[in-house]
Amino acid sequence: MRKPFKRLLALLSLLGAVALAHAADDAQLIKRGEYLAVAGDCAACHSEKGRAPFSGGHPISSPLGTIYSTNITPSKTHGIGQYTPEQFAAALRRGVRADGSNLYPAMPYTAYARLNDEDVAALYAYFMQGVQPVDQAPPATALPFPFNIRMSMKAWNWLFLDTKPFEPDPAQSAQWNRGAYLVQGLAHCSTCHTPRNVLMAEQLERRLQGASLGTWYAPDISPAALQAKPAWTRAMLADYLASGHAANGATAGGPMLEAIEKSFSRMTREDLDAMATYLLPASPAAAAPASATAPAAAVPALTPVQGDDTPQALAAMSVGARVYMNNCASCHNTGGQGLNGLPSLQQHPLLRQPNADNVAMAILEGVLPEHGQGMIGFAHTLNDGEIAAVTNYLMQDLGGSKVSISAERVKALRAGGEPSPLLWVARGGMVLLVLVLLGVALWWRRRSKSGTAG
Amino acid sequence: MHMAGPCRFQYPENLLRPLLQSSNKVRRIPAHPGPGATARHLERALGAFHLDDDMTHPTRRRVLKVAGLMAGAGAAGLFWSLPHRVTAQNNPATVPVDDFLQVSRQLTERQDLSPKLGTALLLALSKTEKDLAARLQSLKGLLQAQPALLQAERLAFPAEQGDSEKLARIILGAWYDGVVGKGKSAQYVTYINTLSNGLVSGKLVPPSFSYGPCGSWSRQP
Amino acid sequence: MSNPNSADVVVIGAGVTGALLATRLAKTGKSVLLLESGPRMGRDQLVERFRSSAFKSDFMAPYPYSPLAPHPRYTPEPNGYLQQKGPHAFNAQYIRMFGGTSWHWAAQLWRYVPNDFRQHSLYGVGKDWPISYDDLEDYYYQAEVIAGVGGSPESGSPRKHPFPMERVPASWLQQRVTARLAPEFTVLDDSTGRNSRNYDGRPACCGNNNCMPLCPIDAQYHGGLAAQQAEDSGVQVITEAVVYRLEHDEKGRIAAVHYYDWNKVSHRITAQTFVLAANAIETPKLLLMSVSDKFPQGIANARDNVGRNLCDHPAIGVTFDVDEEIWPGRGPVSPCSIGQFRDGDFRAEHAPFRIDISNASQVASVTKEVLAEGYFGKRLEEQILFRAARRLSIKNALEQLPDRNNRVTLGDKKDELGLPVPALYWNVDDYVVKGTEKTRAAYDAIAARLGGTNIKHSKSGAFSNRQHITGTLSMGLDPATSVTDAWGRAHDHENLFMVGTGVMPTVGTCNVTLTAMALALRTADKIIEESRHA
Repeated sequence: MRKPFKRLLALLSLLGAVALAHAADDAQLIKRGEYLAVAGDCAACHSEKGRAPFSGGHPISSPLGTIYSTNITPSKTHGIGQYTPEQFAAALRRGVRADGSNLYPAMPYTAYARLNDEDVAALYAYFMQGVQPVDQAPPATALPFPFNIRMSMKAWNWLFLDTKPFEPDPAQSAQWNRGAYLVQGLAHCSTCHTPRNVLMAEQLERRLQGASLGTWYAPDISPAALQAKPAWTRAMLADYLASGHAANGATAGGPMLEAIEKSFSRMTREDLDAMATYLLPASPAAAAPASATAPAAAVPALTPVQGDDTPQALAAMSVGARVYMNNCASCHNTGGQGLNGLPSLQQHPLLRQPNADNVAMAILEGVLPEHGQGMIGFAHTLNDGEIAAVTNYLMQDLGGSKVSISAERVKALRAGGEPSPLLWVARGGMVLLVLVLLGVALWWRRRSKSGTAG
Repeated sequence: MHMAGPCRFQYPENLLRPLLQSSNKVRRIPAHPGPGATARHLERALGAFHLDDDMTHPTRRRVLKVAGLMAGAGAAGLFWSLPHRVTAQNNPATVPVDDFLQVSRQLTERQDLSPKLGTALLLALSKTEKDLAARLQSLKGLLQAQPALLQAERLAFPAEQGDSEKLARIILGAWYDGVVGKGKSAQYVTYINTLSNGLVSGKLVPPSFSYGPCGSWSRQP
Repeated sequence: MSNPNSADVVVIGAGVTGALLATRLAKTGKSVLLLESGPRMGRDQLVERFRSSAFKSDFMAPYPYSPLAPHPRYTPEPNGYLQQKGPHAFNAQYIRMFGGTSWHWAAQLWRYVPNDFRQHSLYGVGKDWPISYDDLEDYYYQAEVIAGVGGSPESGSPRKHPFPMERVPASWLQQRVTARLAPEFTVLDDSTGRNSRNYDGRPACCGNNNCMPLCPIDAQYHGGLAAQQAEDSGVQVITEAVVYRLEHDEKGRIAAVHYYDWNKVSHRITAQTFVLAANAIETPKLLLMSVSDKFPQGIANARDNVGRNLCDHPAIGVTFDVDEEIWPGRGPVSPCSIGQFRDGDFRAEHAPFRIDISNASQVASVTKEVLAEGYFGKRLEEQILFRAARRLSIKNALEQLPDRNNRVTLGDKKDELGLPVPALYWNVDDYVVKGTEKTRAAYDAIAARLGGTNIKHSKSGAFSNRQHITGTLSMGLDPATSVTDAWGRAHDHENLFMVGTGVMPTVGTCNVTLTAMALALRTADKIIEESRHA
């Protein structure tokens, strides 16, 4: 509930910021806005392959159905060309469209709520002047009842939206604060890495402690997890964000790879170091300098390919080991130790996760970055049982983990995840509500009737 | 909720996976499938023994498949005994591995030969080479009696020792090639551990294993 | 699941051309049934079978074999499936399985040069095609996009669009050979369907050096991928279905196909349109088997052209040891070649040819060679190291002219299903022999420029087969001398089409699959266009 006064203050502040921004060099502002748009990864959702940039149409599968991103080019007929700076800010930070309707939190406005006015102004400048207008409508989003009633989002926002912008912590360094601002705001890490409650809101007390996205799993990146042995260092974190690889053997796949390719890898090293500083509390180990992720040897020696491949040994292989040998060893080597620069699996952080979903997803979908060597997916080559077997071989035989995955889970991953109960919870809840109201109405009628009788 | 994009692929529900069809006549020595073996693994282990079957008689294949699935460990035990049905002459137990390794070391002039691989090679040779035990003893004796033979540049045994020279080449082939025998009785023993692959491992990777990320082969080896 | 006994279109043979055509038809909403005589087998099983094979130099060894859908086999010993009737053995290799023969190639995907289509008009030899390079250019490009083809823009084939794939980086061997053979010989990148970046859901090549017989990671395009895509596009696939007869109605239209499953039970499938894609030997065999009162010589064979004009690229080779270490075995197996002998006025006198330079690992072959020479001990290892580092293996592809006497007929032996085996008559004429003389001169010059020692030419008068099998279902404008028209339609059977290399009237000067793929896409478009007007 906002008091009108507060709103007025906010509006004045924003207008002031915009005015200041106009006074500054426009081109610089647009450029800054462009960088911020990369940091916020707007293109990941608002740009779709085969369509003009930022013209929307990217399908986002949610447990409730497919949500299509909108056209945020400055088109006056199909985009946000008519938006005032205030309306732009409202969409970005409160999830409210110019027509007053609500956005679904597929748009991570709950994170962008942290943005300060200067950054909003820069983004506005970029989207209004730095992006080509495209007069094309993307497909409309049509979620099933009752979620097609966007007004239901007002209730959700009332329950879960924190509109306080970011406030720097004076006890921390400027670098830490910059990292915090980015992680909490533009980079919107917690929208994936924080588990959600049954109404799909982030569980704030478990921030960044890991969450399933239905198929891929966003790992626990809270300080405790990052510090667990073998610990990440800040340099490793920054390297990982920059390239998708780190000296501890981590390789990025799935949605994180996409985020790295479209966003993190195009941010400044200073910003990546800042985020790493924020995510990892200070410690001597954390501050260790970057161990050479790619030792610049003159001619690196070839990794030996070894192992017992006699008929006896082959026949004695478990199903998982055999699937591994025939599908994985050609690149990852016979024992998972990596091969001539192709990734090692032996110490891979994925093998220490609390579930094996990411391993299975990498096997199903492959890892195919825009640039650089990729890995084929095995959805066509292997069935659910084989994928489960080789995943368990990796987790347990190679990784020493106790975690396992079932063929049923692999089947669910193939299908895009378990169906969410949310739709049925909501519909069931409404049916229940109607029944309750009916019951009350009947009781009331009976009461009135019996009242008049006699 | 920034969810992952929708799956780009339609995953077919049932991928057809044929039974392993044994088209190459390699005799695969089975091991008892481990406790974790699934029915499919057993199917495959059994499949390895349909050496002369080659899908000739599909109804028989089906019967065997069912029988195999039902027989379980018992069947595996039966097949485990198969490779031991060798004649007394070729019984591996009568060919001491140490003798084979000693001769091998002399012929290769290497001291680092793997006894494990040697055992596997010997087992295979005992199937493809008649009278292996006797012939090996003969070769061993010859090398002991005439050490000058190994000072020559190439193998050139006297005419009456032609068979020993033949065996010597076969043994060298086994270590360097990983395959013994010819034609229908050819047997695979190892691939990544052939001495040849080991020899070039500073420059090459055995085919079907990766040299490295795309383009890594451009630099001078 | 659609009616298994009937479909709009039945395609026979799930190799790359049949699969591409089936996919294109299915995407327009037609019901398409794809019948494959052989089984399915997954890539990982094939990798396992390769690695544990006792015959690694036989590229067919990892692939499944059944006497119910037999194909030629050479290890563990020859199975004599093809009856050889001619002075030269035509040692064809093909795979009857889901995905077909291009499972085990090096993804060479070349366009013909424009003059290849007009050899008779230009050089007075061979045949003209009923279409021109320009008729096929768009389809060449479509096929290149499907397969992710990259290559040298100087290959002699004009292009409207650049290659869809960037070049695969050259190995040290390719760089050194290219530098040292210039300017007398120009070594260029091969046109191949090999990824140098992630493409089509498949990774870039990472140097498994195993293209033939099998890429473990599908960095190269092959028929297995085409067949899988067909199925994903809604084509209904039945494997282990051996078609043995085409049935026609009283007007000569094809009414149905009959096939045996692997339990030897016969099935009959009806359709509107039928497409034969069972390769240039098995398709003629099927046509010749389909005799009736109305067509006593078989379907599409009223003028005795089916199976005739059998061509391949006869090949001769040379190996030698270069005077510096070049280390074949790093990167893809067939990366580069010399194309300057593909075209020119000399084609009136002798066969043109392309010279392929191999980058396949030579370790196994030099090991055998050195062992056979009696080496042992340290010297054995020295020799292996020396030769494996320097061995250059070169072979060519000579264009053979179509000759009616070279043909596929039905043999007198029968296979397990009671079907006749193919009989082949193959000869190599003077045109080719003169070409081999030129080739040998080139080989000697190449060896000399590379300081070659231990030079071994392949046996004089002998030729190996390159498996570029063409001619047996030749397209042509004149039904008297061809089997199919310019669209691949059988002259006498309106609803019967043929795709694959068999419809190509000449074998050209390069590997034939891209041309066959382009023709198949063109035939598919023709079928679609006709059904729209129907």
